[in-house]
Amino acid sequence: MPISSIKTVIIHDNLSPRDPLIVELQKIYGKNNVIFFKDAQEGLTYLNEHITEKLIVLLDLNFESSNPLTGGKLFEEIRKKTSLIYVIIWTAADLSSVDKEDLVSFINNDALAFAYATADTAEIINLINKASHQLSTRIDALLEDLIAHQPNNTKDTPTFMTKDGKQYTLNEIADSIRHQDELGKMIEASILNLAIDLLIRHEKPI
Amino acid sequence: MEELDNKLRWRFDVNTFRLLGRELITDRITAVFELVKNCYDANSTEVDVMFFGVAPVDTKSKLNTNGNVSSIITKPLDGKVIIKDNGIGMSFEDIRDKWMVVGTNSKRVQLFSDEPFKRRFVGEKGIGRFAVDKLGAQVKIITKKAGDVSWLNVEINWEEYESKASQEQLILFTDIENKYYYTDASVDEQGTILEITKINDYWTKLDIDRLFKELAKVVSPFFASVNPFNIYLTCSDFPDYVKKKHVKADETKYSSHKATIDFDLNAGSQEQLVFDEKGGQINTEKIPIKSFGPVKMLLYYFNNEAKKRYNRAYKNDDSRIDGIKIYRNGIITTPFAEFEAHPDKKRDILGIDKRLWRDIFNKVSSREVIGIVEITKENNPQIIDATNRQDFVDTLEFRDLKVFIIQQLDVLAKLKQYERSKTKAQRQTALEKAGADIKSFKDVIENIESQNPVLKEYLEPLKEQAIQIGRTVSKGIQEQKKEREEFTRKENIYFSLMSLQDYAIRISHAVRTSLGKIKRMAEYFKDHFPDENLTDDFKEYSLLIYEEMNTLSRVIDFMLSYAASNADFVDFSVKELILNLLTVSYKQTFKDEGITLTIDIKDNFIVNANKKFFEDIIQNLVSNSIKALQKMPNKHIKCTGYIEDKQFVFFFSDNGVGIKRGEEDKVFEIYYTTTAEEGGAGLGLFIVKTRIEALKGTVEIVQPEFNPSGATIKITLPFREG
Repeated sequence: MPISSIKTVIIHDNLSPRDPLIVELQKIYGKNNVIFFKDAQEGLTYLNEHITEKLIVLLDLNFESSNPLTGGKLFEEIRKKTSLIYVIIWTAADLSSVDKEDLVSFINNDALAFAYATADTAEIINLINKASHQLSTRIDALLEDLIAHQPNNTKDTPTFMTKDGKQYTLNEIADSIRHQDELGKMIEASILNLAIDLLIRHEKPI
Repeated sequence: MEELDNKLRWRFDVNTFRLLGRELITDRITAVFELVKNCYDANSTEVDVMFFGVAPVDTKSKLNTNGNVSSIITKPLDGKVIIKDNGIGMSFEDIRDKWMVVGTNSKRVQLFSDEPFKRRFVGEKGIGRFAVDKLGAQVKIITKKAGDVSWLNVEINWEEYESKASQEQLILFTDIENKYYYTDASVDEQGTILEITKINDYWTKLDIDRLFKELAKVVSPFFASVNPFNIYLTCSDFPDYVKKKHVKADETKYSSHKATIDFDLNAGSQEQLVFDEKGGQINTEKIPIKSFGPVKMLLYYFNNEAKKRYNRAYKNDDSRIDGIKIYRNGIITTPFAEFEAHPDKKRDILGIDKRLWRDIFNKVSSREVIGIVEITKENNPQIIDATNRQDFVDTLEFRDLKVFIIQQLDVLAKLKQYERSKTKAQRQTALEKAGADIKSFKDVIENIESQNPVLKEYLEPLKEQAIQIGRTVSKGIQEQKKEREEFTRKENIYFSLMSLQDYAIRISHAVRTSLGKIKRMAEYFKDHFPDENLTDDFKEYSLLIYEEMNTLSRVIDFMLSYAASNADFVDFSVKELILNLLTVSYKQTFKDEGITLTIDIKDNFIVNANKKFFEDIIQNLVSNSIKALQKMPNKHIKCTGYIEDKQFVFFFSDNGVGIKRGEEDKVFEIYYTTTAEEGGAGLGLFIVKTRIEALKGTVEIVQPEFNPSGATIKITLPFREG
């Protein structure tokens, strides 16, 4: 199964591209896999264009107050499109001064972690490692990756049939998984059950 | 949330959950307050808040070697807090899908509770479980809806979470199970009981008293609620609370003046307050009902003497005098339901204290009144609590209501001024009279002395004494004058500190960003030095650390100057100050840099303001311009000022590199700079802006005067009225 490389996207309006964090990340994951945006809107555009890729976003919360796009809004925009991009909130703000609605949205929509601006580089790298581990092992992420790598004509052909007889294309399934709707959740559960079943019956070695 | 084998599981990261909870619920009083508000939202008519065995335990009282008793106070191990209501209760699904999910928006989608009360929700959405976590490590929820055949019992043990959360692996969907089971009930029972054990802290009598006081604010103390909501407090540890105590607000005592206003719906009339200058009294008059609908209002005003009496009676706990609150149908409206212990942090929803900067001496602040504005859902439909619960929706009607409330306070302000001028006059006359009496006494003695020189020996000490008393009296007059001056200074400090608070958050944000950068670069050194391949990185970072430190130190200087410069409100001429700075202080700099200066300040006037603020503004504008002019062949700075419509308008222009279109607002942000190469750290215009805002002025980038190049900054500073 082809596993595409994971990209880390940093969106922060007050960071130098030569910040040690970016330098260290580039050393570990390769220059092309660490992408930095000073402009939040540009960052969002990039994410929208690369929605099927495996992405971890390190997101600043407080852009300059003249910027209408806040970290919270950007997060919501991401989650409207997909639940498969991992988001780590990285902020100089005190948790108590973060908008409560935003906090609730972060938790309910699975923001992976919070880090303060004064956190060690090592701490943040650790968080990114965790996210990257999850991206490589989570069934929804893997499924999406698999589907993304199919030829285009296969993606639009109805291939999967559910127990109640409905047929779905790979693209429809990918979309369901991104939005975590009933179909998406059902498919994930079925695959897990199937995997467990195979394991128990020793039909497939681990 | 999953359900399996009579076990309920949560669905979120435990660490984040606890962190969030602790930020949201900062103290225990708020925690109980929130839980009681939830009871209200559940249509309860009665809530019992009960404490059992929560008083501190003295576990190890013993005699030291030096003879002192040392004691170790700990929390009681078997303390219990129970909150019991007779509301609609929760179904299994409610617990699973709402109570155990963070921030469920069930209360947001629906603004009112179910029939029969249709109450506007006052409880913070989804905050109940955090509140419970704040109180104790274990909770048992016993709940039942009317019609259900049994009570649902759910047991949650937070300690287990704690131990899981401390383990290495990341727990996003934790496997912790919460046991649930059913117990018998009769069909018509309903409600929710929260039994909190393994309590986190002990509760003293003072804590329970404070809780009583806070809970008393939920229900209007003056106007009966249409739908009853009674709170009872019990605490087994303290005699005052052993018997169930009905939570009701204290009768307001010690106020110097009380005023009520009412309305007559049939006649279409609303009362408002008026001040009778002659009699020095507050009366009411009738006016047509305002846009926001008819309101009742009750105001208690505390003048200086009343405040003294009050503070004596309540041992200086003046948090009870806490301004005006709005109640709807007898229950507190949501923006006022948020508990904030510190008076300075309270949100000024009605804008009462915002207007003090103008004239604190003569206006009435929220620390001098207790007031209730009573509105109803039916009569005042356009007064709407904002969904974020922090404020009201900014409707025209709400604005009118705010104006109306302030107008009533302004009537009290007239009374305050009237009383003050009366006392002042009285005191002045008494002192002056005493001075005159002493003088005439001395004259009489001198007279007797000259007629009977033999008496001189006896009269001299008396004369000395009279002179002495005369000195004391004139000293008294001086002291009084000084005291008045000091009082004026205090009011200025207060105003400045308020504006300082606004910026503290932004500054600390900036400091943290800087610290983060420095730390990561230092960490790079720590991890990689002396790797020869990275020498270039080391050079680059050491320079950046140095620069970042300089920026930090300027930020700190700015903070310190802010704190230190509050007191020096003086009378000075703005024109002179500008001329002095630009033509004297900067003379040499302008000469060295080759800058031509044009100054055109039309009006000469004196302001009473913080001189340092004005100097900061001019100095930062100048240094900003110098940087922007660095590469220009011809350098010009122009400065124009005049008075227009009760404000000072001031333009500061240069023909430097200018500001890009679209970045006119950004330049005022902290750390934003277009002159990084010339040593700009992005602080200058930030300082200008904060100073101007502290003076209630505005600053903006306008069309450059030296078009097409350069920048022009326009500043307007309003004058105080009166």
